[in-house]
Amino acid sequence: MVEVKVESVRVNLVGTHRVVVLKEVNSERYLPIWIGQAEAESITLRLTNTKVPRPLTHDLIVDAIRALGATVRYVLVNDLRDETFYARLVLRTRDGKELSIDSRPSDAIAIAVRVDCPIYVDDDVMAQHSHQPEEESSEEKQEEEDLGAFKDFLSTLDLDDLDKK
Amino acid sequence: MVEMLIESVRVSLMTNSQVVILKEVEGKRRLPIFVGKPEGDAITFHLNNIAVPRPLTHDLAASILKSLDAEVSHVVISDLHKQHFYALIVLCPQGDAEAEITIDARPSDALAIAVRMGCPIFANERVLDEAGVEPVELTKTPSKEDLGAFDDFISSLDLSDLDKDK
Repeated sequence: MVEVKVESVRVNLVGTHRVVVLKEVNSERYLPIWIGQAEAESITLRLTNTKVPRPLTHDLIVDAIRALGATVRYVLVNDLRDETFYARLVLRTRDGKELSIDSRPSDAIAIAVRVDCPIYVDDDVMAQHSHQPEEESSEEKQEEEDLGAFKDFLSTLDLDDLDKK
Repeated sequence: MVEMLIESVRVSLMTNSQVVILKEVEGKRRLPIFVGKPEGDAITFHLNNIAVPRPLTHDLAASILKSLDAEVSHVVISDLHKQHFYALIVLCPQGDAEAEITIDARPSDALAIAVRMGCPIFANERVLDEAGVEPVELTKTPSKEDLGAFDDFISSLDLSDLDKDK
């Protein structure tokens, strides 16, 4: 299991879906997960400490878990099948029993940010589906050289002429 | 407290909202409550047995409650304040009615959980007095006399004139 943090919640401009980007702690691997609008708002409102007049559904779930004397130990994004991510919510009951409950990652993350518990991703899921930001490659340096002709052209322009007309 | 049932979930065409209509079990009063789309959908999907590939947020809430051996004794629309309805979810840990726990909730969440846990829904009497509406029903079929004025009007029409303009 790899520990991750919520790096950002992003808006897709062509649909109603949102993307939550999880970043590996102490590493540069990122895992993007598509989630629904309501769940994205729930995560965002909490991470920005926005006060809401009435408890949201995830606030209610956390209240119920606490009222029943249970705690959320951690959440785990444990699988990806047919383009759908799966997650588990791992609870410890009042008498110390551990329970693992099936959940969508969006709900699990919305709960995790409220109780401040760790978020993990399965090693294989992370290995297969995470992205690493590309470092400046030699290809980009090559591109800069290709732009040399354009730079030469720019330096030949006499901008003082611009107003003379 | 007055027991209610979910009569319908309606879509407002003007806004993104949906309206849940609660009806008194032993009475005619209805209590309309505006809810958000995700919560309205959560209620409708469950009542219509629409299968969803992955658990919705309220399905998760219900499975957490069941896993923690908590029963939901009932939910209640408990208050109406500045046009906002308030609700309570009443839990019995390990099914122990003596150890009731109440949790503050929006009515939409309380209802979405109530339909999943199969528990009764109540409304506070005062809330129902304030916001309940009784549907207007036709109490009798109109009599010949009620229609008299209409009859007079009809008989005053000269239908033979109808074609003369042509």
